[in-house]
Amino acid sequence: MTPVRAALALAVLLGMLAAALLEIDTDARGLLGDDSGVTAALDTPEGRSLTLAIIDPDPDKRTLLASRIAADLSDHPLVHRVTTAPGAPSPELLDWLWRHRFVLAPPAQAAFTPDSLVSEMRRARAALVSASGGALADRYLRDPTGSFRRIVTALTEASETALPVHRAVLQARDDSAALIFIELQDTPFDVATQAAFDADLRQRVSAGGADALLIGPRAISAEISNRIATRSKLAAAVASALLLLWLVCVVRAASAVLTCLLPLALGFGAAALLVQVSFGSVHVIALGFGGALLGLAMDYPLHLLAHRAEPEQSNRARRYVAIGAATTAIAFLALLGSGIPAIAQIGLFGASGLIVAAACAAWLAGGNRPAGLRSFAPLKRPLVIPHKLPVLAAFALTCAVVLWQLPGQTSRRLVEVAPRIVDSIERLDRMVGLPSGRYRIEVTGTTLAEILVRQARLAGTLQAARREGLITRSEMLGSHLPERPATSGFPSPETLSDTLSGLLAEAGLEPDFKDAIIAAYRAARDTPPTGPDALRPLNRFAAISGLIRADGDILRAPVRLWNIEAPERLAKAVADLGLDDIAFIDQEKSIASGLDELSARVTLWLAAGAMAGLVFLSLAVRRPAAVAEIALGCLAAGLLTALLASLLTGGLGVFHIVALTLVIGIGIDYGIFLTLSENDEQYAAAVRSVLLCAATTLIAFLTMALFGVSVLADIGMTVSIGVVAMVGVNLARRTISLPAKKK
Amino acid sequence: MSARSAIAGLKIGPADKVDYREEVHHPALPRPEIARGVLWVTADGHLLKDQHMPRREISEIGEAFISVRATPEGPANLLPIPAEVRPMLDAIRLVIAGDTEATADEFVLDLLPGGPGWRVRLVSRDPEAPEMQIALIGCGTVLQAIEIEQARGVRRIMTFERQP
Repeated sequence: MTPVRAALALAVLLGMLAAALLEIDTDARGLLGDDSGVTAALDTPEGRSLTLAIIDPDPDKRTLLASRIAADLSDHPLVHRVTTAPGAPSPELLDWLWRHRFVLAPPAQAAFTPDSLVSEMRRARAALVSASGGALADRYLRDPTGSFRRIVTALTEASETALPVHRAVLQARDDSAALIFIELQDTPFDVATQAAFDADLRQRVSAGGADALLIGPRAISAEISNRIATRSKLAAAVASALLLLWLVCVVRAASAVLTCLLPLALGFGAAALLVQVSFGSVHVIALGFGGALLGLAMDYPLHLLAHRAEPEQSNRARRYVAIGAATTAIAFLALLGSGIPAIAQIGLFGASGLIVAAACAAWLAGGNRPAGLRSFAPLKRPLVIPHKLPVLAAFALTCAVVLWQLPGQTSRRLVEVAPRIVDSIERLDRMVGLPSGRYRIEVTGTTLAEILVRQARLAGTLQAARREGLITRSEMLGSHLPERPATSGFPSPETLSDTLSGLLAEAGLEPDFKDAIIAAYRAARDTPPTGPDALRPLNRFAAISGLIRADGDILRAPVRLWNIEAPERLAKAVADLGLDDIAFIDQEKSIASGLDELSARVTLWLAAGAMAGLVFLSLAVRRPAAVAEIALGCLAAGLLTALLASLLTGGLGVFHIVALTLVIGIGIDYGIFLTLSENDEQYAAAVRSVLLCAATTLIAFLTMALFGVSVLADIGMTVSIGVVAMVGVNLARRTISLPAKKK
Repeated sequence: MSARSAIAGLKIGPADKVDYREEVHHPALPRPEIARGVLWVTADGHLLKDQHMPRREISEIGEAFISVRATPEGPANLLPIPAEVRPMLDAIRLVIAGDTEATADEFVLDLLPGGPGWRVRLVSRDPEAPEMQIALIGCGTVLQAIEIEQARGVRRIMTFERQP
């Protein structure tokens, strides 16, 4: 069996193994960590929420359709809860509110005066025959402080966030749509499942003769993911076709084309399996970026094919490929130390893939003698830059300084949101009045009482902000509850019992009923502090769902904000409260700072890897001047690439840095072949192979730059610029006097 | 006579409003709390209850919401119907609307023996509905009263008298 056939069989085997064993991990926490807050967003009740607007000018038609769809959805396995109307508090929630009434609405001192107690008991009696209060009158009678009644009134009173209702279905403020609010089951986010569910919803609305608007974090994520996947597939298909065409034109034999492609395939398969075995799964980021880094592996067979004219040249090329692959692999391996699972996987993926691909390329090139490469017209004489090393150093320094001075270096978005989605969000905002997705205030505490006391202090700041036009509206748990009194010390049950003597008869109640009142009072007064575990029933009430959540031992209560005019002034006003437990949060800044931190960490570990690679290169080559030339060349071209990429794509992010590692890897290979060539003949062969490799890389990455979306386009652009820069820097030699050819 | 035939034809439309008297017995009260007013079913099937005493309250009870206002011209407060009273309000609304089918769909109907007229017991088919005894008392095609026994010893008796 020829090496090519053997490698082909091995590639098929690895492909089958990979298909059977690989577990692809798509959890963004693998990249940004557990504590990023943002990455876990799809797993929170808000992240699982979905709003379906059924748009039709006829309110009866759209409302009927909404009712029908909501009824169908209530049994859907993906759906946890469907809300079409403001619901009444459930008996379970009422029990909970009853037990915790003195935490939620502590009675003021004035509530214990005889007049107030009598008035409250009379009100409770009247509620017995009221349509709105009849169900709760029994509890009103047993709580003459009025605490429970005030909670119920506050929760059921129409708030400013309330939407109009038509035939028991919520309607858009602009009277354009009937609304269905869906909370999905607490299951892991899956793009295909979500996309199918969303398509089904749209189809149901469309079949009913109305238009659908569907918005929710998971729906948006699924749409963005699908868009990226579609564009990526297009880019991959175009790039593959062009590459294949190019290789056929250049190497002119099917076996030679396989010789070029098989190392890449084997490297990819082996790397993916090694990551799977080492980490238990392969993160999608590692698969994508690791795969892109392996693009470098395509260069190895091309170098070897271009240097196959005579055995000495061929052996030297194998050695150079081995040195280049090992140097780059060492640099990538440093990423294992980053402590970020997805980035560590990229390191292992890149390093192992390159080593396997280099070994495979050497094996295939050694056992195969394909037809000659299409001839190039390489440079007759080397380009020479006198004093190349100082020139490179000065150039690198200049690029570094300019790069440092560029504003907004890291303010890159992770994903690009399609205009259609932005438009949909704006339409939904007109329908329901969405709070800011970027800014919020977060109040933290260990008990519900602490949270409510802090929110009461914040209420004044928010009122002032509203007066000053800094916001138009705010919503927090406290705003759904009665105003809290300044002090909330309660008298003893015995004192209350004494006060009540004679008052029940005055209020028209049976005097013996006092015992029931005192028992209820004692229970409420002695309720233990309400911590995270006790809060669950509260979050099941749609009207206040999401306004408080348990995060371990801590309670977090977000304050939603609308139309923030001057965020920095509001941030200052919140900071002026001087409470560490109340924080103004700019979500975009949090994400940016998380990505900055990630970039810094990756850069640091890559720099350490580059140093280790440099040490290896020095030991392997043992020509300090040449190693310095390669290193300085890579540094200068890398910085130039970073500078141009930053200018062209609007800033540098973590993905540019990963792309730059590929550029540096490419530069090391080019540098080794061009700088270490010892005579005109070797130099000519090196130029030929480097140009061939550069053209191949450019085909793949320019396609990515032109057809890819957001991140992929940035990577394509960065690598394309980097390849050109690396060719330019390495083609030029520091001296014209090449040693004579050794025979 | 069956339970269904007993409650058929009890519809009280806008043209034939009835006066009602509601007695509420509660362990906290030495005497029952009494309310009086007028009620009928609107064209779209809502129960309209215009309570005159002890204080004016006009409530319109639909399938899912109660709209409450203090005067005919006053602003309405729209409230979701609490689960604790849903069977009671549904029973009154459906029976007075003359919707025998919906009543039988929502409740198990039992004709109870005894008495000069008829007495039909309604038990909600919803397993999550609160425990509540509902009985309709009538004679011929006239609904005379509805008796409801709720938790914690609360008992309501609503008697009707057609307006001349």
